[in-house]
Amino acid sequence: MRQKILFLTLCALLFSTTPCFPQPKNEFSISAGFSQLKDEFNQGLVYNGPQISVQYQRNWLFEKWELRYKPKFACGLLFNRKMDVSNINFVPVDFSGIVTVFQKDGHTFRVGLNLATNYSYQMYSSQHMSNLFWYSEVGIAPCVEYTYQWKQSKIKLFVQNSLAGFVSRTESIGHYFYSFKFADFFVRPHQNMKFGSFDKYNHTNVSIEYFPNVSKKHSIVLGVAYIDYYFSKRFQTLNYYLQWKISF
Amino acid sequence: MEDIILKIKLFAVIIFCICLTSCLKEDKLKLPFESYVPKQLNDGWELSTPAQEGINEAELKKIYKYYHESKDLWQVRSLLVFRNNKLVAESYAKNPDEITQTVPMWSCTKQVTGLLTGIAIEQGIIDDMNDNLQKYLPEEIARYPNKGAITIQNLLKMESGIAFENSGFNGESNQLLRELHDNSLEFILGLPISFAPGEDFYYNDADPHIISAILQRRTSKTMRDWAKEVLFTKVNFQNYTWVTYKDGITMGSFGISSTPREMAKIGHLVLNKGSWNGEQIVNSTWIEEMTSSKVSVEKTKSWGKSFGYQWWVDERRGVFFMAGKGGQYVFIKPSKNLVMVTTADPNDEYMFEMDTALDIFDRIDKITTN
Repeated sequence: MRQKILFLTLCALLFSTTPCFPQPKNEFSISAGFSQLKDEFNQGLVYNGPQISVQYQRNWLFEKWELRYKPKFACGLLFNRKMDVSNINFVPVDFSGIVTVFQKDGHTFRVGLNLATNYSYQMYSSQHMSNLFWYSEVGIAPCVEYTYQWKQSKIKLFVQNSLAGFVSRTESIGHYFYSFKFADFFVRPHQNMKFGSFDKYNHTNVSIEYFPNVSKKHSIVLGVAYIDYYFSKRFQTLNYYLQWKISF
Repeated sequence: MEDIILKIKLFAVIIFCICLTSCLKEDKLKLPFESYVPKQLNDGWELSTPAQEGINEAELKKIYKYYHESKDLWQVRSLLVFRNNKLVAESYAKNPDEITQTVPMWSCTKQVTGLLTGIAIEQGIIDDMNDNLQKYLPEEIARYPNKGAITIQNLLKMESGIAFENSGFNGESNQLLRELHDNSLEFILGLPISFAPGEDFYYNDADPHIISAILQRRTSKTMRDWAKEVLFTKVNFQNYTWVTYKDGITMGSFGISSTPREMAKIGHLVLNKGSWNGEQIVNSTWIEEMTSSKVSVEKTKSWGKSFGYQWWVDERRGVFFMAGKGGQYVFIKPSKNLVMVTTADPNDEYMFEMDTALDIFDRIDKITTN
């Protein structure tokens, strides 16, 4: 009952503020990067390869705070020796609420909280036949953002690190029979979700964004995203990327 | 302003250095070699030393060091050497617990199916190797009459002609592994024929599975249960699992998970011509037939080895062997009373190849007295 009341209150708050929303700002970005994947199921092998992603971002700007929604889809094809793994990453829900805490002489310091659902799937065509491996995360993460603007240029440093959430990860693979159905992509990442914090996983995002000219609509981001799940079979991914953003 | 730009540049350099140094590093893929002295497990194996059984210890140590340290052999897991029915050396390259942990032996299952066929013939469960499927599976053959002429011998020699593809995501083997069909036998018999039975060799997972279905039909037991009764219990083969398809038919081509020590028991039964501790479990004539070349190298083509009744034969080396996907092998050389078991991580692209494993066997063979 309490959960229902909380949910309805949140909805009421959200919808009551909607009419006050200023014109939202939209951004679209594409990125290319170098990705690494290490999984205890592979006995220490590290797969390396390219990863590309597309991301949409919608920002609602208020006086001192900002609400962001940025779903993402990424895919990569990584290799080790002659073996490959397809890595798909899907972030359907990614909300951040960010508030300005300091602003003076071009320096802006902001803090916020992110709520995101992150699904990633790995398919090893050689090493594990076509067993579906997954890592899923529904969690909250505090973030800080520092921006400095001089003349028409701007630079933004963004750091976000997971705090707590629910995570699910492939725990075992069958010796012979296995399942690979479309429904598995939805069902499995929601099975055996465990609540935890730094005892189970760590997810870090760090990026630097450069706006050559704030009056124009382009920016370039250099970033790194790192996931380390260490509760049972350890799983790590590291992705360095260069992103091009356009706002409209 | 210049000061700020300098700071930004410095910051970018620091970030770049962090990126360079924070890449994920590959772990050591194998354990360093420590010892090949086997452990006493009370699993039925009598232990001995290489020297006592006529194997050069210093040279054997070099082979084990190579096995553990060679970067080319990153996928290998275990190497065991037996001579005169005794375990003389063993080592586990990735996880010492695999001494008792079962791992998939993949197509080594086929060789067990070959042994069980011999027992079935001996017991009159299968009347004659030249009998065709019409006799044993009349209902199914009524639906798929083009398979009626396939004989038991065709199945044993991988010569049924059924167009069954072992590899690929949509290959028939993968369809069985994903249990996409309700009835595995109907699925196999419903496939087209690519050549007349006996005309050619085509290594596939369908033929041994049909044998499993026939044995189940004739014994009214799954091949797994029947094997336990007539074979496994008698040779003290205990630490294993054997999977059964959802229609209740034991997988005849793959499906056994076991340990290298246990697989060696099957190897020794064959080495000793079907006899175990004085009891004749499989007819010695069958063992000779099963492990002699029935399909020549010319016919097996790229496999490069002859094929008996579900057993691989290397005539040049005087060796016959079990072989499973990704590098699971049991090599048997009767002339020297020598058996080598080796296992590896199964993967399709970077396999522990048959010839690479045989090279290691050759090295051990060379340092073994006659």
